Formats: sequence, C-alpha cells, structure tokens
Amino acid sequence: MTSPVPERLVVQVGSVLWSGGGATVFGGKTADGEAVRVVGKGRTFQPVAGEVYEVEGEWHVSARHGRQFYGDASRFRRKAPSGRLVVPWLQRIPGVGPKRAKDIHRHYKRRLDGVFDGGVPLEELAGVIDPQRPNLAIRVAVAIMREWQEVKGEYEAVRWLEEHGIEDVATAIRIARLLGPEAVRLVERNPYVLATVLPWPKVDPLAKRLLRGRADVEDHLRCPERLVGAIDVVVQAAVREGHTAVPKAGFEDLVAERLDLRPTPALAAAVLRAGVANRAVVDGGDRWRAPGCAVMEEDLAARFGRMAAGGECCRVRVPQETDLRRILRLVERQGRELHSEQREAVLATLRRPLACLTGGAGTGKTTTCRAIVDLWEALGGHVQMAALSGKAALRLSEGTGRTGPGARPALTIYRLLLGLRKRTEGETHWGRPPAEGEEPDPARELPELTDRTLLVIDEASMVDLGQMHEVVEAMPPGCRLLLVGDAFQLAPVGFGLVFHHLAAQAAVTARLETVRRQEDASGIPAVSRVVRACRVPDLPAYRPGMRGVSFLAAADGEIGDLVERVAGDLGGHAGRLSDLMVVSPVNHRPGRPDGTVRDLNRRLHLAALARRDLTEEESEAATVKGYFGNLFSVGDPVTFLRNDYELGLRNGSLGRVVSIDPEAGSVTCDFDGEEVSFADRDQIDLALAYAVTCHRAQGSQARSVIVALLDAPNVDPTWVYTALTRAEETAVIVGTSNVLERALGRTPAHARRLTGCTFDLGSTPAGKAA
Amino acid sequence: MPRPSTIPALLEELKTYLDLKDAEWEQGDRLRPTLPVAHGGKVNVRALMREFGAWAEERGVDVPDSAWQYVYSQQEWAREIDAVAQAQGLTCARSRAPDSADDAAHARIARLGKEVKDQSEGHAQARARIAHLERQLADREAENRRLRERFALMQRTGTILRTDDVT
Repeated sequence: MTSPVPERLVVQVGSVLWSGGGATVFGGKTADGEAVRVVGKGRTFQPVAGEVYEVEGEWHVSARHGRQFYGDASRFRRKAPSGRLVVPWLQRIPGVGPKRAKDIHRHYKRRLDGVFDGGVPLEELAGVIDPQRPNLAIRVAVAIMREWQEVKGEYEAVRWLEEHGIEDVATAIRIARLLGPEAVRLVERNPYVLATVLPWPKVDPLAKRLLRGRADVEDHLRCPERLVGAIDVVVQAAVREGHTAVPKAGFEDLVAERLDLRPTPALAAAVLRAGVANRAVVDGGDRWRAPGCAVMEEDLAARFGRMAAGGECCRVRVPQETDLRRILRLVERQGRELHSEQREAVLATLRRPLACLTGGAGTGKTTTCRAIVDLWEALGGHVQMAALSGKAALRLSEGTGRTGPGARPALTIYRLLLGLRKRTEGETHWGRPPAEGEEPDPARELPELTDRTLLVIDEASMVDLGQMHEVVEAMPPGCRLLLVGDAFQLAPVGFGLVFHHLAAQAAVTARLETVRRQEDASGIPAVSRVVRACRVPDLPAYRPGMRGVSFLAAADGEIGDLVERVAGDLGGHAGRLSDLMVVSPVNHRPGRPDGTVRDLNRRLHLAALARRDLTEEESEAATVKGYFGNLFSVGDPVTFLRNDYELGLRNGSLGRVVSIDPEAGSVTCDFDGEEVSFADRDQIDLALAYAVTCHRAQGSQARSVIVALLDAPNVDPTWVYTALTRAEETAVIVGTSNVLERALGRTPAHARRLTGCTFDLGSTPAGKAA
Repeated sequence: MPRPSTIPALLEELKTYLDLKDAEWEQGDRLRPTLPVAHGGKVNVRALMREFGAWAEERGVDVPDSAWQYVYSQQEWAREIDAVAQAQGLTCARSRAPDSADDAAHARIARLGKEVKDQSEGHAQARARIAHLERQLADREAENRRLRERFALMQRTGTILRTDDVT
C-alpha cells in the first residue's frame, strides 16, 4: 500500500542504517521529534549523523521495515546549522544572555565572522543587541568585541563542528578547548583527530567525506590519516577494557575490521607502517603499547627506579637498626602491640623510599600501617594518607587513629590532588583560614607533600595507572611513597596495573601472611586461602544459625528469594550497619534482574516494609521514590554516592533513613549521628544499601556476608575472595556450584590485563640486593 | 502552580535604568560617574540598587530591598552593571579574584599598565606595549590551559590527542 502524495520533511540524521547499491537509508527525527526512516536514492548522497536535511518524497510501507520515506537524494537539501551549538556558546560571552544570543545569531544569518571584528558598525550591532536601550547596548557591544578577540578561535571550531553535524554542545566545547584556535585547521587536515573524543561511527563517515574531496589524498579509504584513526580506536578500546597494550598477533586484523576493509598483507603492512611512523603504537616486544599509557608507565618506571635506588634525598633521618627497633617499641607501647611479622614489615618499610605493604584480608595491614605512620612521625617526618574511595579513607583514618580533634585524617586521592593544586595557588586551608586567636585545626589545613613526607595510599590495588601517575607527579623529590593493598583483591576499574607489579617485587615489598582479623574457628581464613589458590572449596550446605562459610544452592531465578530468606535468618538489616552485608557482582541487568544489586535492594526494602504490617495505603505513604529504582522508607540502610565535603559525606558513607516526607518527597538520614536531609533532586546521590557491589564493599567488613553468586564475567577468583573476606563470622554463598566452579576457573582480572611495563626494579641497587 | 519568578522582569527594569544612567554620563561632563561610587573606585552596589528601587517605585514597580543580592548571585545582573561602570572608569561590581599564578601576573600587568598611564598620560607607545604583553599573556594562559587539559585527558583515558600531521 502506498501514499502517492509528495511531501517535504525536515529530518535530522540520527544514524546511517545502510548505504550502497544506489541508495542510502538513514534513521532520524523530524522537528516534532517523530522517529522516521528515510531512503535516499542516488549514489552521491552521504549523510552524516547530526546533519539536517529537507527531504522531498513519498511514504511507502515496506513489509520488512514498515513505514519509510522514499525520495530522490539529488533533491534532498542540506539545511543550515540550527545554531544549537553556536547560540549556547555565544551566550557564555559576558554581556550576552540567551535572548541576545538568539537575536544576534538570527540577525547575522548564523555567520558571525567579521561581525565583532569591526566588520559591522558598532551602532548597528547595538541595534541588534538591544534596540530599546541604545546606550546600554553600545556598552554591551564593546564588551563583546573585546571578549571576541579571546574566543573567536573557539567560535570557529564550534561553528565548523555544527556545520558538520556535531551538535552535542559539551563535546563541541571540549574539542574546541582541547585543540584551541588551530582546531579548524587541524581537523580539516586530519578529521580523524576527532576519534579521540567522538565515536568511530560518527567520525569515519564525516572524515571520509572530507578526505575524498581533497586533491592531496589519493585513496581516502587507505590514506594514513584513516589508518592511524582506526589504530587509535582499536588501542582505545583495549585501554577501556583495562589494558595498556594490545597483542601484536591479530592486531592488523582488528584494524582492518574497523576500516571495514578485507585484511590483506598489503593493508597489514600499511597499517603497521602508519602506526609506528605516527606513534599510534609503541613497540613493546610481543605487544603494541598504547602511546599515552606508555608515556605514563615510563614516567613512573623512571621515578620508581630513582626512588628505589636511593636517588632522592629525604630530610628525615632513619636511624640504625638497633635504635629504630627501640623507637618502635616505644611507639608500640603507645598504640597496639605488633606481631613479629608485622614488626619486621614496619622496619623494612621504614628503610625504603618506595615501599609496598601487602597481605591477604585480615592480616593486619592497617595495624601495621598505624605503627609505620606513628614511627615516621616519631622520627620527625610528616604523614599524608589517602585512598581512592571516601569509605576507604575513613577506615584508614580510623584504623590509624587519626579521626579525633587535632588529627589530620586520610583524604580521597581526588581531594588530595585538589588540595595540592590549591596549595600551589597560595591557599593554605579548606575554606577560610583560621582567624587570629582561633585554635588551629589540622583537618582544615590543605595537604602538603614535602621531602619529609611519607605518603600512604591505601587499597592501592584499585588505583589505576592514570591516578597513580597524577599522585606520583605531585610528589616532590624526597617524598616517600607507601602503597598498601592486596593484589588478590579487585583490580582497578580504570586501565593499567601498578601496585600488582610493584607488590610482586621483594625489593620493595613487605608481605603479611598471618591472618588476624577473622577468627580461625569461623573457617573463613581457611576457605579464603583455597579460593586464593583458585581452587573450589568444599563448602557445607547452609543451615540457619551456622557460622563460617556455607553454600546455598539456588537455581537461576531463585537467587533473590533465597538471599532474602538468608538475610531474614541472619537478623536482617535492622541492627548495626556492620552486622550484615549483601554483595552482588552486577548493579542492574535488564531482562534478568534476579540477584542484582537493584533487585536485592528492592526486595529487601519491600520485605522490611512488609514486617511493619501496614495497609497498602499506609505502605505507599511510608515510601519516597528516589532515582534508579530506589524506594526509601524509615529504617532502610542507605549509602551516599559521591564525596561532598560540605555535607561531611563521602562516597560509600553508610547511614539509615530516620524520617521521610512523602508529600515533599524528602528523605532524612542519619550518618554516624549526623542527620542529613535530601530533597528530591539530591536523592540522585542516595541509594539503598541492603546490597552493594563488591567494588563498593572493598575496604569494609561485616559480621555476616551474603554473596549473590550470579554468572557474570567479572566473577573471578579475586571477586569471590574479596566478597568472602568482607565477612568476620559468617559468609553464605547463594548460587549454583557450576557458577562457583566457573568463577574460580577464570583467570583473575589482574592477570588477564595486558600491560606495557612491569616496573621492574631489578636493575636498581635495592632490586639487586633482593 | 509555582509563582513565576520576578527576577527576569526586574532585570529588564534595571537595564532600562542603566540605559538612562549611561545616557546621563554621555550627555554630562563625563567627569563624575553617574553611578554611585564606593571606596576604591568600585561601583556602590547597594546605593545603586537603592537608587534603582526608588526610580522603579515611581514607575509602579516594586523592587525588594534584598534585590542587591542578585548582583552577586546572578551573573547577568553584574554584567549589565559592569558594562556601564567600566565606561565611567569604575571597577566592576563583581571584580574577579585572581585564581592562579597566571592571573596574579595578569593583575600585575594591569596594575603596571595603570601606573604607566598615570605617570605619562599620552605615551601611546607604553600603552601599546602593555596591550601587547596582555595579549601575549592571555595567549600563553590559553595555551597552558589547553596543554593541561590534554595532559588530564591522557591521565583520564590513556589517550594522547593527535595534533601533528600524519605521515
């Protein structure tokens, strides 16, 4: 069935669905927001996502694709850019608000070149800006012209991007800022520069079209610009998966796939030549290293090498062995007594400018760490501590006794770097400096790293290459670094491995082997040792009331129900927040929600509500709906999702809902005795904490832990180990034995990571001595 | 239904008021600012807003006493006042605090520029030199910002932005 009436539509291209054989099909949206499919007949039509076309044709109904708009592509007209980028950009200039930006853009027909460079008389410009207020308008026009000199390069870039179909304001401004006034020249010469910030399906069609028309480009499909662009994208994809290198074997085929070209020896040779000549890859033996990662790895390797070799001078004098032991004994008397293994670790660490302290969960890393920082301060040194997450920083502060008044608590790495930047700008305190006569508060002083500082980074196994590079870059020569963590816990979310490689080297590492936290009677240390060896432990079947590690078989689809039942057996979440923790590997899984964090939170929230024996109406009135499926009622455990120092909350802070106001949609929670209210919009930072992911749980413990064992690729031995070792007395694994076997058979995530550097300190004096 | 905000309407009134003050400046002796002046040659925001309130009242528009706060909380209010204030040789309503060493250098050059102007009015060469230095400094600042952003991009994503020609 067809409709014979010719019609005109204005459509913005969403994506090109198919091209070839004399026609191009694209999906897009009309000005009304209606989704349409357009078929343009003709070989020369090559639309790019983001462009706007006025198309003329007819509607037809295809049996396979439904209603489509057909037209002769030679009659399709590209529409001038909408101003979607330029107008918001223009209104950022001081003196130009939203209305004036629109008026200027409309009046000068969307071409601002020359308008503010003196090409248009001032009076005319003032007339456009505000015809009702000529005097004020002249002043505003002068202000714009002055500002224009500063920002016209950025304007050129934004306009160019808009003309080429890129209408995402944030991306356009980011590109303009990164490339500067040369942006248009750079992008016109090599449009594949954009592959760093835009997805390949968006960049490639745009770049092909630009390069095809250029006289100096012989073959736009195989030109070096495109080959290098595709290499960059392949390398970026590997980095996004956590690697810092790509295997050489099969690399050319991956690039050919991106290029949508048949892999041939000639193409492979061209890819490698272009990749090496333009440093899109760096030779790393059997692998190609990602160039940005290689820069950071080499920087770190050089610095670590210098530190380990004693090439940096620290102004804190570490005494001879006998004296050091004597001072340590004094420190122990003031704190907690150490086990001999811990004592040796303290002494070994104190002698090393670069040190790692590692050991399995419960081996007393934090206790040892406390002795190290106390001893360093006793020697006249200065200590700065940090961890990746707010929760881990809080635990580090507590574990090392640095929480009370007058103490300098551990910071998150983000805040450490922010504070150091503020220091370089001349600031001394978070907020205003203390007034005269006011008691000094070390917690409000900005962090400082000097050649007397021992910088301690906890949970260092989770710190990725870029973060470690930022930290080490901020350390002045002579500043010492102690990395504390367990290489068998979860790998960094970001790319690269630093701690894992360093902790494998005896020259810089003190290792704690004896488990102290979990009582041996619980059996958790024994089971976790088996898991650490990647073997399947022999677990007893779960029975209510039993301690240690047990297993509850649950078929697919039953995990949520059984976790709920076990949570009930273990007393639920009504007690202290550290009584029960439920861990799941997946936040949200569309179509298969059973056992995910979101599913378990919803179930356990409803179960808690059901125990209150409310009517349906009362239940509704007792709940406030948050974001991402969160429902809050009084008594629910909650977690905060970012660091907010004004509120005094960190990412991972745990609290409990103490009151709600369903009409206002607000929720009030108690975080360690402090009540904080969250209005509707603020609840985006709040989530139920009946269940959490393992990454969020890392660094915390609970008396009992329930592990929802879903079949997910991230469930490997390190995941199972991290989940189990959160428990102090009881751990219950809920899932199937097949999934457990599969998980423990997987290579741990950190061992699967391909990196370009192992930070080998073997050639340094410390390394040789070891 | 929530009450519509009166702030945009008040801003429109303020623009008209400023337009009149600027016309007074242009038509007057151009020696004395027509905007109220505070200590240090800064616009006296509170006095200006009081005058504006009285002027608006005559036109039947009620300006709340707290309206002066908009000048500090709403960029657009400050910008409108600054446009007129600068023409009358006054310091802006919201003078920016230097937030980096570069800004400090920038501020110093601006101060030096003022001294040169005070000491030798009419020395066009010196003024041109200052302007040239300011331009150079602004260019360097922008270049520094760009390089820092590219460096941060590398640390965040492991990617180096390609700016050299491909061979």
